[in-house]
Parts: sequence; C-alpha cells; structure tokens
Amino acid sequence: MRIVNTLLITVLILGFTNIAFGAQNEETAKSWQEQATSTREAVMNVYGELEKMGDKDNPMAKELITDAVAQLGEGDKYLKQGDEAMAAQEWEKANFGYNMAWQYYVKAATAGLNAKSILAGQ
Amino acid sequence: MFTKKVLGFSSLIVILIAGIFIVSCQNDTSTGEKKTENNVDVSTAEQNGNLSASAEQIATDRNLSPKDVEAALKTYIPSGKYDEYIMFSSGGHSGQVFVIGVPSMRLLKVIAAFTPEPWQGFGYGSEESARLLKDGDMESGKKLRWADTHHPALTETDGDYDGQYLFINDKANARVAVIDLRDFETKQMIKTPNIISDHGSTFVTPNSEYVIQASQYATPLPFEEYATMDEYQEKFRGVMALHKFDREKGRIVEEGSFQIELPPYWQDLCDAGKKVSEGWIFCNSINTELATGGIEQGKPPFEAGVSQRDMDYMHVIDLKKAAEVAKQPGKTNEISGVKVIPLETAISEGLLYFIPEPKSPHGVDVAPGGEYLVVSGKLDTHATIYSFEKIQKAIKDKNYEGNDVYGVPILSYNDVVAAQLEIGLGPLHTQFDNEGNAYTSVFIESTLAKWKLGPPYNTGEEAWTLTEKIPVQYNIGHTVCAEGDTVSPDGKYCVALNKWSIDRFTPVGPLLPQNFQLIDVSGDKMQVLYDMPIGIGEPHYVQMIKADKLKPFSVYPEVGYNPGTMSVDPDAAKAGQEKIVRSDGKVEVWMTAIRSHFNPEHISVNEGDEVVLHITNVERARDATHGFAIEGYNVNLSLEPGEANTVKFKADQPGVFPFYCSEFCSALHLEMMGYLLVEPENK
Repeated sequence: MRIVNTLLITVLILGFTNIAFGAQNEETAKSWQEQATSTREAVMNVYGELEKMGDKDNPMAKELITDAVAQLGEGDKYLKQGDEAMAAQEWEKANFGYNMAWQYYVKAATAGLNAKSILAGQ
Repeated sequence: MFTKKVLGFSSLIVILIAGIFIVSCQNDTSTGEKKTENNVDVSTAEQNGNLSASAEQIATDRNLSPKDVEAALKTYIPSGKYDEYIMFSSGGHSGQVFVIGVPSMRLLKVIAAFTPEPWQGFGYGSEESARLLKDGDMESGKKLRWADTHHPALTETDGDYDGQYLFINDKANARVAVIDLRDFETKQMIKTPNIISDHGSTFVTPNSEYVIQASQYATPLPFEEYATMDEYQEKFRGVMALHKFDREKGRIVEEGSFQIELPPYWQDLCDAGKKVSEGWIFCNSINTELATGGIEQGKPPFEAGVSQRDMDYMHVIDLKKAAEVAKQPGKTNEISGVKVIPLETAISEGLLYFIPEPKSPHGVDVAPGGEYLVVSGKLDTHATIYSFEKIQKAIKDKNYEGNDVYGVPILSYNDVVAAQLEIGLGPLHTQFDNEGNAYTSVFIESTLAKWKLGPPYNTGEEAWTLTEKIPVQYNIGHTVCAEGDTVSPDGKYCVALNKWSIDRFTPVGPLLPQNFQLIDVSGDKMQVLYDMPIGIGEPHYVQMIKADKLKPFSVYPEVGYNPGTMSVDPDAAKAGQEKIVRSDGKVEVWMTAIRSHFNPEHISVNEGDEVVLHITNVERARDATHGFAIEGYNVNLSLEPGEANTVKFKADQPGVFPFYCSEFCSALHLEMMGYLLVEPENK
C-alpha cells in the first residue's frame, strides 16, 4: 500500500507541476487528461491491493469498497466525456471532464484507503 | 495482520508501575500527596497502593493489548483529579463551544454561544440571553437560531494564551461571539455587517487588539445588495473585518474596528503574524478562478471550477498600516455603518499583497517565532513554507511578478518560498511543538505527519524533513497540539479532529459522531491514546490551553451578580426584601432562590399582564445552582450561586402553572416549587 500512496502522490504532483495557471487550451486539457488517467491507474492499484487483502467479510470495508467503486464509475463517466471533448478539440469541455474525473478518482482513493485501513486493523 | 498481544503483560505492567511509582515518590510530600493549584493528579504510590494482580486479569479478560493498557494509563484521571489541559472546541452545527479535558478527553461543558440552550437558560426567558440573541439577529430583524461554529480563538498576551476570553465565529451567518472565561458565558454576539458567511474567523493578534474575521463565499458588498452571477467579477467582493477588542470592557467595540474590501476570491483561513511578523495578517484564498458554478446550466460545478488553477493567492495584509489608513479622513467608505477601506485604496496604500500558494489551500499557520508561514494545498501534496523575511524583502524591493485582475501586486513565488516539503495526500492544517517540530493533518490518507522546521529550530540535514506519520481514523480535518499555535507551544499532546468515524464506535444510526483522537507526541514515536466521539455537531478547530491558566469563578463574587454586566445588578432581589409590586397591567416580582424554596411561592396575575421576575440565587456554596422553570410558558433559567437574572413575559395563558427548580439542588429539590396563577380575563 505504501507503493500505492507513493504513486498517488506522484500523480497529484504531476498535476500540480504541469497544469498552466488557469488557461483553457490543448496543453491544459492534455495535462488534466494525464492527471485523470494516472490517478485512475493509481486507484486501480489500490483496488489491486484490496483484492489481495480480500474484504475479510468486514461489512464496513465492503461498504467503503462499494462506495469507492461508485466513485470510480462516476469518474469514468467524466473521463469519457473528457475524451470525447478532446477528440472534438473542445478544450474547455475536455478540461472540465478530466477535472471532474480526477475529483471522483480522488474520492475513490479516499474510500479505498479507508477500507484498507480497516482491513489492516482487523 | 494486527494481533492483540495479551501475553507479556507482566513485564509491561511492572515497568509501568515502576514508572508511576518513581514519579510518585519524586512528588511525595510530608502529607503523602502533592496537588497543584488546579488539583492536577500527582498522587503517591502509597495512596494508589500496589497494582493488584487482578489488573492483569482484567486486561486479559478484556483482550487489551499492552499498548491499550499503556494508553489507558496515560489518559486515566482518577475521580477528583483534574486534567492538565483544556480544549475549547468549536461545536459545528450545534452553534456552541465544547470544553474538553486532556488527557482524559472528558466533556466538561457545552458553552451556549449562538444557539438557545436550556441547561444554561440561554434563550429560554432570561432577558440577558434574549438581548444577546437579538444582537446576533439579522439587521432586518430576522431571527437566527443556529450557527456553524468553526474556529475558537483564546485571547493572547504577547502571543501566548492568557485564559481570559474566547472568541468563536459562526460561519453560516458571519457572526462573532465573545465568551468570558471567568464564568464561561457568552457576553457579546455580533452580526458582522456587510458579510454573510465567514470561514477565516476567529483569529487574534498577539495581544488580542483585533479579532480577525474574513468572509468566505463572496457576495456583493454589502451582501444585501442584489447582483446576478454574471456580475460576479464586477460586483462581488470579499471582506476582511478587523474587530477592535477592548479587553477592559471585555467587548468588541465599534471605535477602531474597520473592514478591508478584497477581491471576490473565497478568503479562507487566516493567522496573525507573531514576534518578527507581528503586525501582519496572512490569509488563504481559493476560487481565484472566479468560478461561478451553475451545474444545472451545464456549467462546471464549483468543485471543478474552483480547482482549475495550480495556484491561489495567499493574502498578505499590513495590519498596522491598515489601522492607520482606516483612521484617515477620506480613505474609507462607510458601508452599513462600518468603515471600509476600498480595494483600490488597499492597493495604493500598500496594505495588500498576494503570494501564489498551491492549489486550494486550507491552512496558513505561523511558526512560533513568526519567521515562517506554513501553507498546505488540499489538492497538492506539500506543505509550502514561506519566509516572512523574504516576503518583507520582496515587498520592499517591489519585486512583483505581476498583478491580479484587480491590480493587487503578486509577489514572486520563488522569491518568498523557504522550503517545500512533501507531506502526503491532502495536507491541511499545521500545529507546532516545543522542539521545532510541526504536525500537519493529512486528510485523504488519514494521517498526522510530523516534520522538522528549518533554522533556527533545526539545522543541517534535519531541517525540513518529514520524520513520522501516524494513521488516524479517519479523514482528519484540523489538528490541535498543546498551545500549538502560540509563540510557546508545549508539545505533549496533539488531537486529530477526524471528520469520519466509520467503524470506531457502536453504531448509532446513519448519522455518525466525529472522532477526536488524542495522540501522545512526547516520545520518539507518536501514539494514539484515545478515541472521543463527538455526537453533538461537527467541530472544526480547537485550541488547547494549559488548565492552570484559566481562573474561573467558583461562585459569582457577590450576591446579585448580573453575568451580562459582570457587576451587581441594581434590580437584583435581596434576601429578606422579596416583594410583589402590581401596577396597571404589570406585575413585578423580586424573588430569591435558596435550598429548597423560592420566595415568593405564589404569584397571582391577570391574563394579559406583563410579568417581570427578578430572581437571585442567594447561595454562596459552590455548585449550588438553581433552575427556574415555568411550565407551559417556555421559561427556564439557570441561576448559578450569586447570579441575578430577569425574566419578562406576557401572561397570555390563563390557568395554574407550577414553577420549579430544574436543577437537582437538594434532598427537597422536588419541593422547591411555586405557582403562577393566571386569572382569566373574562372571569
């Protein structure tokens, strides 16, 4: 899990250093795209870790994992929206889609990490 | 996999007992007991006796690990012994302030700050609380009866808590309350003109000359003006209110108070400079994107719009200069009866500067010596540390990287940063200890991170290094450490103010308590000692003061004391002079309360009469509080020993209404009652 945390940190730093100061253009859309997809990858790694641990039949961990999956699903919807806008060269819309996807992925990571914490303490 | 280690208790307990025994012997006195002024526990081993063999059995039976036992021993306070520290916690939606002992984490009191509270008789008939609540209503007269308290601020002298007063804000309505710590009661409530929400409040300057209150969600200035969301950039504004505090009066006063107009960024948390940075104020902001939301119209919701940029702007305000400008004729506008320094004046007078700060910051905390400002961007992973010295140089050299859209000069980020330290996922707020360490709450990954400040606190390779993280459960918001935001922090304890508790407590339905986790930071490794559920509201910030700095009354100094004026009330009823005076349409009663009777006990009035009751608790014994409740009339007072209070109401319900003491005051408490007899108008 330490590896996953490190990966998430890297992803968040990536967004921090690459995104321009409020601009809405192809460059920023690509930055947001990269941040969203990389964060998604990190979230999937969290799930990989959780799968290895198993939910141990812990109802609270199960609930958190369900929530995390729901957040991931919402993020995926926006990721698709961002991809479509990107293809249509609608940079502002793409920025928005990827930004929202990233927001949901961060929430998914939060829930996933809490589930891990519960399982680790069991 | 974590496994409880029940075995091996004997050795641990022996060590712990030996430790306690040694400490106890060191503190031993000829009387066999050592007590501090505040009765802080320093008992002798003789008094405690040796730990019985059954203690180990209890631990085994309860499946407690050695660490559990150690934590229990570090937090347990025997009956009659007092805590070393007191926390003042915002009460969130309850609108109140919680008083909690540390390390026991016992809830000692809920102070009625903004919300009616019957135990303290706050808002249930007493004239004084009615006045306070009215003062906190909207200017239009609309009643406000809940609050979202966020940030308590103890008064300071030379940057240290002095234990005299406490301020608390109401984020929901932009209000400030002043609590006197002689009796732990609210003395003043202010609905701040021009703004309707605040978050960066309350914070005090090092000698409590000013109480800082920054607006949060921007509105037109004043908020009563109407504007559309399309006019956001042009007409919406932020505000910083500087409330002048008169310590002698114990009140915020109009003279010397003023406001500063700010751009419509959402001003967030603030802190006053201290020591070398005294005279300056630092505030976070978010939404420098000027996002206006509108998800229902297909526009980006605030959560996306407000987090578009990498950087927001830390506001750097020269308070001393601002106070001078506020005094000068023609330099302020009067808005809603308050002097407001216009934004353009703040810029031209050199009062206001911006510094880029990482993404959606949610905390600016000044180091004990005032040399550094620590900012954490909740969507960044770092603590960014700014140098006050470098900031001053950049201002002096006018070394700006540009101006924002309103013309505010922006200092160059690289010129003023002292260090940047990778903390983790979602760092928020920082506190300090007495050994040059900082403690930052990390929301997303649910940890408290400990790291070392740079020079003069730490030098060489040690400076600016992350040293330890401890998991907390879950999603920590603020953290508080013992006197951890003053010029002389104590270390010893920190508390993680966790937003989610999930699985920590017995389930009590879908609304779960928050979780205050006490952490021992005195050793090489941090240790979670105790989980305290908070099931009354959602607290935000807390301050932790050494208990012996508080000097509360045990009883009011004189009989007939009015807590509102903190002096003897000329209308107070006196023992032996109780009376009922009737005039046309009015019945005025001077009543005393003592174990176990009221005098008078029969009050006969006519339907429609105005009834005025002046009631004095003439007791002089500690804890001999009386209540005064009238059934069916929504009246309940709390009369502490010596207190005088007044109730006014219209006798608009005919019938017979018992009144009684609502505090269990004596063996004959049930008999402490009387009758309000309201004769019908048409009889």
